[in-house]
Amino acid sequence: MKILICLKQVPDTMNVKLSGDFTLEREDAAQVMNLADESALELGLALREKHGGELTVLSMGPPRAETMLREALSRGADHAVLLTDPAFAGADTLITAKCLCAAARKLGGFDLILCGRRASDGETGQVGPMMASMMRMACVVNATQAEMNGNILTIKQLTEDGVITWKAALPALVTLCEWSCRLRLPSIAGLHRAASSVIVRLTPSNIGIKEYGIAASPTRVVRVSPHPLGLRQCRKLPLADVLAALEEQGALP
Amino acid sequence: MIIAVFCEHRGGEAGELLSKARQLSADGQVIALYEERTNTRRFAVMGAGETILLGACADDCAQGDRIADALRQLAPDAVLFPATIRGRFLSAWVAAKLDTGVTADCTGLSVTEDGLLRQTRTAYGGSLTAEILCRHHRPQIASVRPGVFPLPAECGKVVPPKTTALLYDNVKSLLAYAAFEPADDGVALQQAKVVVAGGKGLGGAIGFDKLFTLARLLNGAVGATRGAVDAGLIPYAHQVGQTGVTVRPKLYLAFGVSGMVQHIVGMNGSQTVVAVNSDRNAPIFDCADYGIVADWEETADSMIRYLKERKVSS
Repeated sequence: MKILICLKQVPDTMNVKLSGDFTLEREDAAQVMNLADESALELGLALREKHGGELTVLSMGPPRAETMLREALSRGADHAVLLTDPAFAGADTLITAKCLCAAARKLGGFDLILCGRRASDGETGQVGPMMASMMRMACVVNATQAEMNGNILTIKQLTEDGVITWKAALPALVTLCEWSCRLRLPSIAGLHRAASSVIVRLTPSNIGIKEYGIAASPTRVVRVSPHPLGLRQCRKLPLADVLAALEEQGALP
Repeated sequence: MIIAVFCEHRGGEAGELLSKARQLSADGQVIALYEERTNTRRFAVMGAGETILLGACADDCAQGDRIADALRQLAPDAVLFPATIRGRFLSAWVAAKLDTGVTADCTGLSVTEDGLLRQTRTAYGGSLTAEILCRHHRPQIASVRPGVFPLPAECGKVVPPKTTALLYDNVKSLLAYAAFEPADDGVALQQAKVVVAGGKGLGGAIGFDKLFTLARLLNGAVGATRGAVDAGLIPYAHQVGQTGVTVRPKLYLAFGVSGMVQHIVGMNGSQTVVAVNSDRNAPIFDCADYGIVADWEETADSMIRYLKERKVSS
């Protein structure tokens, strides 16, 4: 089985500080593997262990994303590929999905593609399902678990009001929730391989794509403004007074 | 501007999107796409001038193909999806099929001077607001966060709208729906009007039992911090915050929640926040309207007693 894991390097907002006006201080944040992608990588590693095959990690981003790909190699990935070129920059979700699909086709024949359910910076969760739609693969988003029997994948999807179990024949694409699978630690052999491996770099011409970057992207961010989380004026009161206030404003059903 | 609105299932939650679409479309051309047979007069009342029956489909991927097909025929300028997990999935699937852009989880929509859909959303754990345009590709697709726009005040016409049922031949199935297991407290966290949340400090699953009792009395749902989920006190489905779900209830009660920013971004849209913590310097109080500096358990017990007596006397 050939497994592809799509990874994104994001600012480490899990450990980010708050600035004076109560916004997240992103500029100082370290760059890390997106948390939900860790679950995707671990699920891929576990499925490869059980069913054999090889596992490739793929990312699109600046050259510094190599650090994250080496980390994935140290945890057990077989191959790492980075789409990197200034021309890729500024892509929206549709164009990002197109580039990742073009790379996946170039690398060839994946049975299973795993992604995080969303990146902690953009928080759109669109790239995975867009890739599946473009490649005509079965797709389940927001999964917490997936098992394989023969050619059939059984996937648990967390929804607003419960858990749906889906079955899909490969090829399929699944996006994983954060915390679904705890990513294993690097092995000694893995660390050696990570240090000595060559990370394949691909440019737009390498993957034969003509639409890339901000120029080809249908959506454009035209304005960004900080959105402070908003401090509230907290009134510290005994319970009885709080209950009376809630009753008065009709907040208790 | 022609705006199509995807109304999930029988369109029970579609009112806010339809009335927003009606408000955005100067010439009032709003088309409701719905999945299961229902009384379409309702859609007209909420703002739709035309309705399209897609038909139910247990395979979300195949349903995405059908929606894309319908939109190719209708050629609307914009399409709105509810930003539910399924709605967001379908919006992305459809956008890829139609080779256009999509803006996820919008909290604001308006029309620019040159007639484009201005889409507003937050990112980075709610710390940034971005305005997004899709200038040249059509349709402009947005998923809209539930509960952001008000429900319609019976704005549309009341005659039954024109309805077309679409027929499909060759939609290839990719997914099989095998089972559904409802959420354990029976109340969907994201739709709940009241959320009772607990942190790691509750110490043991017994602590959460009290919150479940409280939630039942308030007809609400139970939320939790990452710390509580990580400690195994409650399943991940209850996690509120950056790596869990975002909730916007009328009332959010936080018991023993310290107030880490990763939790705050998931509950900050709540109308009224009450925090209970024995540490008077806990950051959660900065994000609360009312603070109770006390032991969480005693407070929860008193609250349960109060609500039970209130129920009896009412």
